[in-house]
Amino acid sequence: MSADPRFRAGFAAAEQAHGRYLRALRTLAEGSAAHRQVLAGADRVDAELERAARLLAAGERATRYPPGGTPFREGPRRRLTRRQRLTPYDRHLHNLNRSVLRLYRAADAAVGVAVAVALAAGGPVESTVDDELAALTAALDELR
Amino acid sequence: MPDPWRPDLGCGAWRVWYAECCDALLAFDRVVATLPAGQLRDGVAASRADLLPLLASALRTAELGAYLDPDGPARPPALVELLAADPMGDLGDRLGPSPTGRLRERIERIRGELTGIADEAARLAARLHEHPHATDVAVWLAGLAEGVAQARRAAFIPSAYRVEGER
Repeated sequence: MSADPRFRAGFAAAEQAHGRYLRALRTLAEGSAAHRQVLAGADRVDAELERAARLLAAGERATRYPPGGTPFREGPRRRLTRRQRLTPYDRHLHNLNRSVLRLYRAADAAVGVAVAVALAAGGPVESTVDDELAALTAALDELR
Repeated sequence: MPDPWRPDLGCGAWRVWYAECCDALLAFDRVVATLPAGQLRDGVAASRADLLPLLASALRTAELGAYLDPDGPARPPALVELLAADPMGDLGDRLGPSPTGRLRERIERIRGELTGIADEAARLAARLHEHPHATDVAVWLAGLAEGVAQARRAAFIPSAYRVEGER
């Protein structure tokens, strides 16, 4: 595991989001439509966590020099975009943070489904849960 | 039914919010204890049985909230700091509030209803103290019963989780 605290904090946040998704899944009754849909997205959440782990490892090896070599390199520099001006270290960190964001959104969507099911009144459950399931689908589509 | 004298929820923000609901029911108990023996005391005390399901609902809601977000609906400070320090700029505004905020709202609604019932019972106790020979106690109790029924409707009991095909 990387000794860099920023990468370590990012991966810890990714693990927390992953655990939150699973906790939301466990609150749903097995066999229910909501449980099936949240369970179907668990593989994508696992894959995203694995991606975060790869970014953590990459961050350990990443350099902090800007593209084109060391900061002391002489000569003309080509025009770079803001993203391209980031050092490899910063790019990996940014990608890890984006992964954390996607995982938290997916976890929020699953928690939203669990909360909607729990708060449903004595009437039809589907009317209040459908919106949350649609949000879950959208959040899972962000994951690779 | 949970005993309001011994809330058994774990420590944390959810326990505090549930404990506030317990405090409201305890306030109701204290009002009943001050009433002299008679029709009013019997009628008010009988309403307590209808308030316990509200407390049970608050407990289940708090337990669910504590399981999903143990530290409450607010985002962890470490996460907020992490996203704010991103090299490409603050990513924190791309993350909305946690859905467990709705669970907290439910608990606060129940607390409000229980507090309202306790206040109404206190008003009846004060009225009896001012008019000890009143003959329309039954009307007072009917008003309290309507308040309890309204509280149960406002903080409805969550339905059990449903399996497909089951109503």
